[in-house]
Amino acid sequence: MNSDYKSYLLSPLFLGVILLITLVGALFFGAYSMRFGEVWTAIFEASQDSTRFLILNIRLPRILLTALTGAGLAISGAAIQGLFRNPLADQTLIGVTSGAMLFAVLSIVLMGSLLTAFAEVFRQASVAIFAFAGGVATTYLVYFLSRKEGKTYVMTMLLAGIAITAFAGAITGVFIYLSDDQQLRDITFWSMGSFSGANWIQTGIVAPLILGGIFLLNRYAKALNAILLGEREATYLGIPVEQTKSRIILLTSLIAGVCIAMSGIIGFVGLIVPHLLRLLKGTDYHYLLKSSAIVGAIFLVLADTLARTIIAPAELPIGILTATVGAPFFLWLLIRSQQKSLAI
Amino acid sequence: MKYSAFLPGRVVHGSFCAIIFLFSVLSCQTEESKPQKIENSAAPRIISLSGCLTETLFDLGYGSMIVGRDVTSTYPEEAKAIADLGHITQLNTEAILQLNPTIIFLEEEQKTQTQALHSLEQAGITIVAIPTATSLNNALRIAQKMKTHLPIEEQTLKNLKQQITEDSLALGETLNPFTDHPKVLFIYARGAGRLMAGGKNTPAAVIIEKAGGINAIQSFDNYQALTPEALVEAQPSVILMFDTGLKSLNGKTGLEQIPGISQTPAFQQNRIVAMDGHYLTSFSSRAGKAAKELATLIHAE
Repeated sequence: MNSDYKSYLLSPLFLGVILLITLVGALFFGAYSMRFGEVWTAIFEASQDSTRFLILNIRLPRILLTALTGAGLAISGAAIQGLFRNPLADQTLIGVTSGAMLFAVLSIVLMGSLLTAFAEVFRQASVAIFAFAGGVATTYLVYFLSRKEGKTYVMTMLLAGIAITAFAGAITGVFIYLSDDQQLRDITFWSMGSFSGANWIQTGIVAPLILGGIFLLNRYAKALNAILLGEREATYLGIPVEQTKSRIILLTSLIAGVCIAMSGIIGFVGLIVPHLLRLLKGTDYHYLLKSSAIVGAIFLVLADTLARTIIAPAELPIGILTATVGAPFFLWLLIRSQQKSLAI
Repeated sequence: MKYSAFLPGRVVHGSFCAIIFLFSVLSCQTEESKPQKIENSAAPRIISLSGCLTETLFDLGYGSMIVGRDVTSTYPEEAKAIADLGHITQLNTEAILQLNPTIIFLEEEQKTQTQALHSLEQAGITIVAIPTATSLNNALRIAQKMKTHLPIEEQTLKNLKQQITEDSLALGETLNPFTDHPKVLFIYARGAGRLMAGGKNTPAAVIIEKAGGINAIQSFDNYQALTPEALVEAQPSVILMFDTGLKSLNGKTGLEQIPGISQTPAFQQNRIVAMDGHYLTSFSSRAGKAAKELATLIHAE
């Protein structure tokens, strides 16, 4: 197999085509059984029956939300790995996951007592709102802790992130301890992620944030490539390193925060998808950021298609699937690879 | 950095084939299992998302019209044959639409647990949130609320009311000769590592009081982890558990291993009561019977 063929298969254009096929394909599968023709007519003929409702108002927004979330998690993972120059890095490291978890748990446990004064619409959305606010706020705490004299120290940030994650984990533990049986179940399921409540409102909120975030993150590809050499070297190359760092942290926390807020915690995508592409194609952030987003979307749409069909009429939390399907595949790739070690 | 030349193409190719394979497997599955849909049928197609509501629907003769249930709906035995939609936080909207329901019942307090209701309502399904309480006539109140959405006959309600009244009277008669109020400690167990003591205002505490006992713990609400000191301080004369909970500790021999248990009067006099969890705490139409059964067990000499 020559390298032309390889670069053709892995080009963002070809990956984009696969994503499109996956999105359309996923539209044909679900717990509600329909023949292929029915799906077709439901989409293209303006009838007002239940299959049309199901395709357009339930299946389509869910698939799009899943794709956006996959793209958001994967690209923010890739950017964070580049920023920290650390293969173990993902969203968890900058505190966004643990912060979102803490505030979501807070919202679930206090929902019954403190939030009764609010309107029901707010109560139902409160977990998402709390999780988003918590994720972004915690990232900022980590960020400010690692700033000294106008500079961000990446190593300090990494360690501060670990410490804050542990601290948030402990407070989460306190609330889990205080929770009753029903709340405990809600918490457990939330931490395994799900798209079961997806609708157009959620998709509408997520779409501009994630698409805009992907677009903006892409502009830092050159800077991330330069930072690979080291921060000082990047500065010599004319990269505004400090500005780049704070922008990337802001963008990733917003993207990851909104992903987690809508769907709960879906591990593995942000960590593994960028590594997968590094193994295949090497580290060039011009390529890596775009492709991570596309492959992340493909991966999560496939996983969610499985989640909503294999144990129908019930549904599997997607966080379980991403790890059970993704981990063995990645390990296989890792072993087959002739690389001695994973380099960033 | 050296990358293998043969690997990437094969991997991408393989993944591509895997995607196609996945879709073809899934398509076989969905094409074959297409059930007959009932159109314009007069009988309601019900989904019940709570064990207590499911039981009440069976009481009212609507059991055969339930097309989907949640994981807690395990009584009566026939309910287990109904399609299980899993836990309420993980509802599969499409699967629910596939069942073609006309009405969905859930408990008022479950409403915030799921986000799927919005889409289902849009699909034209009636969603009824029913307030529940820990009282002996809870089932009757549920039935009255259901009557506004289902053509339940007045006579059926009367029968249910009569049955609940009779059970309450029978409970009163059972309690009459007893003058003492034994202190009952409810332990919620899921294996030896997860033991919770039932505080005030829990369904377990309510049923203990209905059965003429006193909840041994008055210092906190809800459930808290059981500590040896709290056990000794509570001095319960009876220990109440779910039968599944006692089983998860390997019965009374396992219970003895828990620090503090063997110092309680309840354990020393072998007054360990185990009952079915749903029967005891769901406050269905059998609540009166459950309270009566519990009364005889906790007062027995």
